[in-house]
Amino acid sequence: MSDLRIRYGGCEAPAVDGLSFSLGASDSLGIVGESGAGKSQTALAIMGLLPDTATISGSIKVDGTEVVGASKQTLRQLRRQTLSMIFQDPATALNPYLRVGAQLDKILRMRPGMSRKAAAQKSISLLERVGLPDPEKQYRAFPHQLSGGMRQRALIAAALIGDPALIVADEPTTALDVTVQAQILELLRRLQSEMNTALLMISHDLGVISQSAQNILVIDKGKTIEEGRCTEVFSSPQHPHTARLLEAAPVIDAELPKNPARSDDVLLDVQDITIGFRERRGWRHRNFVAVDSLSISVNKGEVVAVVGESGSGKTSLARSIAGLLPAQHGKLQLLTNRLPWQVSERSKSVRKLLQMVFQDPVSSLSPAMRVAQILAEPLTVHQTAVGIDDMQKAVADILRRVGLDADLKDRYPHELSGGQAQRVAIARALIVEPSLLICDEALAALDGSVRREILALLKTEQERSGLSILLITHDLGVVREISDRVVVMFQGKVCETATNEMLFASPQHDYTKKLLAAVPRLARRVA
Amino acid sequence: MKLSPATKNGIKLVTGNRTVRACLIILSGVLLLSLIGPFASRHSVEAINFDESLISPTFTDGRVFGTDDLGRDLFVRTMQGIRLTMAVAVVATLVSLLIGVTYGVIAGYAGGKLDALMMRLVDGLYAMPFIFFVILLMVVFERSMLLIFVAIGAINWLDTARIVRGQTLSLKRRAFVDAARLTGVPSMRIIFRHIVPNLMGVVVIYITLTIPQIILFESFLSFLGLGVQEPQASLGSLVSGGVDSMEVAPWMLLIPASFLALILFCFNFLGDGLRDALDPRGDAT
Repeated sequence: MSDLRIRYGGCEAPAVDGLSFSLGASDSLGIVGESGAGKSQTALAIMGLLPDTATISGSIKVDGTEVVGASKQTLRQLRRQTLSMIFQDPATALNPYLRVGAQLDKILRMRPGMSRKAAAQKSISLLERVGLPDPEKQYRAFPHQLSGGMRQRALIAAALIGDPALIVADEPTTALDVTVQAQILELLRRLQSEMNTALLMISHDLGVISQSAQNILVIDKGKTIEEGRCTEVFSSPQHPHTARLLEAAPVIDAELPKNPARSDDVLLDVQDITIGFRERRGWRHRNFVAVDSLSISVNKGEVVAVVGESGSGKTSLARSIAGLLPAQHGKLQLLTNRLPWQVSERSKSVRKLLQMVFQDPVSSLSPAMRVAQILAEPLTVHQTAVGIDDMQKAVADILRRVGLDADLKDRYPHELSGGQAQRVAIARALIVEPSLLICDEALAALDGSVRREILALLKTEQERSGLSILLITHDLGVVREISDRVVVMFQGKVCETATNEMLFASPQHDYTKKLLAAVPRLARRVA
Repeated sequence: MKLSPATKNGIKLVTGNRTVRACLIILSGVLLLSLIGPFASRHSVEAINFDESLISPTFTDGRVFGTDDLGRDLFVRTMQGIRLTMAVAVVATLVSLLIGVTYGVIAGYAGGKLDALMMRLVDGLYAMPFIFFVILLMVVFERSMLLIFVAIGAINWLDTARIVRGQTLSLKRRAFVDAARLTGVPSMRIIFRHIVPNLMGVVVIYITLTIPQIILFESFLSFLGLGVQEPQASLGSLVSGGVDSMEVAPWMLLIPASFLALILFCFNFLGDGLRDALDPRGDAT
């Protein structure tokens, strides 16, 4: 591939600006960059899948065939035989109305002379090859009956059908849990060496790249800024942006945080909380227990992290404590107040003590309100600021505190970047001076370097005001950097509670060990 | 009034859309004509003059659209008809919006039993034969403009309520509503400050699709003789009068009918264009 440029109509800056690289047969290359750097655009260009609104120039040669400007016929031929792609979200990449097997068969049967029976056999053997347990059963299953990891395996099976010379994997593990991610990466690595295919791995996660590719290409704003062997780039980055990316990657061997604000007084005490959902399956009702008689406490000024995979019940726990999801059983105590489960039954003064920051910064701000209105609302409700002058001063103060420019107060949320929006959400929570802040995956939707800044902001705020934080996360790197105590959740139960130091130094529970082992680490050359 | 970003964005997109722009120009042209047209004419709406009945359209004496069987000037009457038809459409749409949005947003936000109850009521009302209902209303009470507005508005809010409820259901799951509840914002304030402004994008599109529906319905009522009363005229009643004398004076049917068709056409295109422009998935060009 050489000098690829992609530009969208009406857009000033090109999405991809003169990118060149080459990838040898059975080699692997990782492309890394922040969101908007042009990673996915590059992948789509290679596959010839860019939308019509894009103008593309330069040249992409796959196995000697030019992709840029190729006819539909050529592209189809190429995709059938030499190229295949693994998409980010396995849930949307499979057709929900077709059985997994049928989707594989359909591709296989496009070849001349492939009988229905032979196709079925081949599909099952492919499913077996990607390590799906009981492949005959999965062959007949519908996509929604598979877990995320299994679906991604099925997609990989689909990608392997044509014995492709090149597999393009666009963030194949981003939507998956850490332990599943480790398995998928392992699978990709194994298949790549078995089948001698080239792999183009696209990810924002340096750890993932490090585990799956030998070479790395760092891109920013559509331009290559650094390339080389993974180990070399990681141990001695040449470009400052690469260095920043490396620094921003949360590492689980970071230094322990110091928290002077921590005290021994209990702030929040949750006992024996059980949260269940009634699920309807056809005509039958089934109870599903998300959180199973769990107890947890948070001290004043303490940062407690709750980690676990998706489905472990950590978000249900957070929402229940916040009063957004009633629990069936248990006791909730904040200082001396017994809290009712419904937020509407809690008194204003108690509501003030407990605030929450949500995962998706975009959906947590009303699109129809300006930043100033969003921040002023809690003040009006709690009447902490009276009169326009007080209000404006309070809004300006809080904006400064969360590191935002005062000019942003007249903007609408869609005019903010993800990081700015999350700062506004944090400001809205902090403006009422709560004593407990619940962060529900508040960093998960953000880019590496932005995540780092928000993490630092939370840390300073926490130290400044002696705030307690209940941090819900799946990211052990974040846990390492900010928490005092860690609660590991698995299937609705606590399987381990330990101090930050103890958890990483000597994990007790098997699941914790598995979780720690699954975190992708950067392969640095030992200095 | 401050416009929400969605609306503002919409306006920008819409004025960039060629179909929508053309429709807007034609519609405002027609409306302007109907407002100032009658003043430019020497003839009055009501004057009956049998000596001048059934004149075909001509430029002499300002009878551009001719006269009807009673010798009334058709130009002036058509312009008045447009005004009335548009007024009914706008007022009835506002009535239906007011009821529909309030009803839908409350049902959607409350959820659970109240929602089920309110929506079953809507389903029940849907099952009623509304033409019959309106005819009954018109017969029992004295026919008045106000009644037409109210009757039409009262029928149309059902659709609005359903759409608004659906949108509310998806909006109330967004984190900003949770955040407001945590802060202690009262429910009514959440509904009207956080949810309703975010509904406006959909509502704006919906208005443009409701207006032609209402125009058609009003015309239908007038055509049946249940709408406006003489000497007032709406496009529907003019068409109705035109049908009676179609063989002797085709212009009496063709002129009001063309205006009706033009207006309906424009509103429908406007609605489609708006939907294209505001749909985030569509490639509006």
